[in-house]
Amino acid sequence: MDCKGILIVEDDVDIKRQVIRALKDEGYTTIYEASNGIEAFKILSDLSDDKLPGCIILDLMMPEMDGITFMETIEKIHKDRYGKIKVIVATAKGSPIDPQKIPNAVERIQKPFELEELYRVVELYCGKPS
Amino acid sequence: MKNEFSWLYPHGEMARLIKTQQWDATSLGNPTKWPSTLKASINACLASDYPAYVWWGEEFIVFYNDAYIALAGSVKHPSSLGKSAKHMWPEIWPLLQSFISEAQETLKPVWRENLLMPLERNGNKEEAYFSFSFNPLLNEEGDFSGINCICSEMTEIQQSQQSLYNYFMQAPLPLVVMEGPKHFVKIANAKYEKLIGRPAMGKEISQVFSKGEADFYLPILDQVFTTGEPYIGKESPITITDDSGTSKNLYLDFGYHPFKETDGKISGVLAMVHDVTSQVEAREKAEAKKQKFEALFVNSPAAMALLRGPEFIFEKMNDKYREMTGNRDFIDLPLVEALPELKNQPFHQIMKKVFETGETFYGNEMKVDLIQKKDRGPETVYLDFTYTRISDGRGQPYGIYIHAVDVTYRVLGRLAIEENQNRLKLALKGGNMGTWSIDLSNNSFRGDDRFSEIHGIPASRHDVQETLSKRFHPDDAESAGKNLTDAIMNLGTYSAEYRMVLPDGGYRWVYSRGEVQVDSDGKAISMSGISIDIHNKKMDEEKLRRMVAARDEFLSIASHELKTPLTSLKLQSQLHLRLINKNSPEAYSPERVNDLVFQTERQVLRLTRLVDDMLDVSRIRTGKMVIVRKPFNFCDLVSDTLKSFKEHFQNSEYEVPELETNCNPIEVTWDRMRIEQVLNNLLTNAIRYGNRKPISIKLSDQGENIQLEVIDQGIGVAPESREKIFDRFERDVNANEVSGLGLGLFIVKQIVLAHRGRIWIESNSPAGSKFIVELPKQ
Repeated sequence: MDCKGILIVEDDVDIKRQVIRALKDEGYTTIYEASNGIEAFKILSDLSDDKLPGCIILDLMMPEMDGITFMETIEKIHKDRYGKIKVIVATAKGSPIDPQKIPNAVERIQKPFELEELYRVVELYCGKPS
Repeated sequence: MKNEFSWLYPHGEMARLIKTQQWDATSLGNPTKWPSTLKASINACLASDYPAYVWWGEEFIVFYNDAYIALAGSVKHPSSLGKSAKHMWPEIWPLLQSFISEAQETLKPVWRENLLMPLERNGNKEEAYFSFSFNPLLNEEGDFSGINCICSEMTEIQQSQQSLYNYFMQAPLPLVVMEGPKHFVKIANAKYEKLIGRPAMGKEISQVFSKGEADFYLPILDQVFTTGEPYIGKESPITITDDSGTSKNLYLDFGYHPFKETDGKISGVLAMVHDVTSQVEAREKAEAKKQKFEALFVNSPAAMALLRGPEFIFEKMNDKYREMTGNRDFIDLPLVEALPELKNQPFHQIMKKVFETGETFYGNEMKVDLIQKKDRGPETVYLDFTYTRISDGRGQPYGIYIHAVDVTYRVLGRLAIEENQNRLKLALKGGNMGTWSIDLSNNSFRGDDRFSEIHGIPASRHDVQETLSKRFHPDDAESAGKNLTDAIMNLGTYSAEYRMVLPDGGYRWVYSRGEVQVDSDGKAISMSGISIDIHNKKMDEEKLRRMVAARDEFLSIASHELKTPLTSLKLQSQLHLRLINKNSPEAYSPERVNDLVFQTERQVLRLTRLVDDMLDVSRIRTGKMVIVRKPFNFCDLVSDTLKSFKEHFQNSEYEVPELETNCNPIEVTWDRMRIEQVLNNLLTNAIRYGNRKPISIKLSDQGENIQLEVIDQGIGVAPESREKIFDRFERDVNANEVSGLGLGLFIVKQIVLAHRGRIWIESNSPAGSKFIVELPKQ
């Protein structure tokens, strides 16, 4: 199953760049990026339904709208459209996250994560590079 | 006429009166016709110096002599001469008539002694006593013709005898006159008869008393009568039973005195009796009382002593007193010598005052230093005692009576208790504790002053429920109340921390602990315990908690922050490693290699900065941040900083700001590295919160000071946060939203302060903040 696209939501420019490069290196071509939740919604809303990404790599600590709020917003408001997109939470936060708050998070990878781990989750939840 | 009375006795008044009397008119007729017996009788009468009279004839015509004049009295003399006897003595005529009759009949003299005759001779009635011989006179034929009386007025004698008799009868002492060997009671006076409770006169003494009553006395009477030696008896006991059967025991002093005749013969005995029963009884009572007192005195558990006179000489003391004063023997010694250890103590003075004023002194728990053991110094005792002045029989001050009770144990006990209480109070005070007690019978409680102070309530009795609901902090009242109730029900310990609402509206944290007391049935009757003001401790705990929470937060943020550059580094090195492992030529392309190095450098720089910041904070906290001032051109620093920022933002979307003012050289003497840190932090901050809008920097030279402004157009800083933002770990916005340790601004402020400058935030319009730093150049 080919991955339709990946959305990176990360406020740290360096990490974002590295992740994008890593994914590109692996062969993923459709990569969207946003710096916070608001930007993420903007990008998603511009996409047509068939072009929606298969997964979102979501940082939690971001300005404007953080990761939790982003997920809650999807759950409450945009469930129909975005509810099916698999969300991978990538956070440096050590403490456990209330699973109640992130029902649509399928996996959590802890920063600093291994490159291999990144490839694994993306392949698992989105699919192989097209 | 002379011839008529030639025969008449020639002397005396009466002779003269007879001569002058008109006898012819009387029934006797002319004196020449008088019989010779009459004449002889008249002469015999006149010649006697003894009062006498002659009554002659049927009328008993009266003749009397001079001696009789006084007897006749002033009314009847001289008028009665030549009158009938009846005429002369009408008041006693019946009596006289009886004498006449008797004399006439018997032709014997009628002899009377001390006969009472009620007369009216001196104009008033009087009682007179006469002893007389009323003799019949015969005429020549031997027929009864008249009376010759030789009499003696015994009135005076009789009266004095009567008086004597009266005196005797009325004598204050019981007296008895007994006659003869059988002790016939001639006279017993009233007192005597009262004493023995029966009449005694006219009986032999042995008849007066019943058998057994006077057995003791009769032999003595006999002896006195026989020997003529008087007998004095003292306090002889006698039991007398009167007619009604009542017995009384008497004590009598008595004297038996023999009456002696002129010839020395004993005719009788005078008994004088003195009833000394009351004296004897009083004495016995006093004796008994004295003995009782003696017994009390000796055996009393109180120490007693009697001191005589103003020198306070010890006259008497009981065993207890002796014991109390060390068994020293000081009878007959004055106080000052007996108890020399009292020299500098007030007791002698007090005793003096009591002796002078008569006012009893009551000493209450007075401290006395007494030598109680031989060869030892004085020991302190506490005594309740009295000094009472006592008087002698005549009411004069005699001495002092001491009555003392040793209450040392009580006093020391109380002092010990007081000391313990004080210690407890001090301990409570030192421990800042108050004590309290709940009366479970009425659910009220009360505490000491400290308790009331701690709780901010008045020091009076309060109701438990009311206090819980009104004074306890609403959040704590329920749990504290439950705690209390449980403790009472389980007879266990009550322990609770709670806040009390204070009168000024604030509150105070209190810790209370108490235990239930039960009565003999095991029923809870009270609870008592202590309370401690733990407000400061709680506040410190709070502070500590906050600090720990803040630190924990810091650590969590720090670990997060540190992880960010690490993530980047890891990603990129892993990426590159992948290339190498794949033997991809990409691995060595200059572009990739440059990028790798730059990125590594960047992340390392970030890490370094973070670590440095953390170190700085630690240094600042421990006071180890020092600034090293050196002169440099601030303008240069600013442009250099901007330049390096530009370089670092090369690959990002961010627009590095321009220096907005012309930078003339500004010479300052600051710690360049630290000021660079300030600039970096402010710029980083502006970028982070700047919302990707352009940032500007303004410099102005204000003479002594330099002012630097870093202006962004981002989300701004809320006015209420503009102070807090410089605090360690504080960040304005929701911690989840923004990365960064939050140390930056704290460090910035510290550096600014170290340079004696100041830093503050103002709003920028339309949006954003101005961070303004003012520093003195030197």
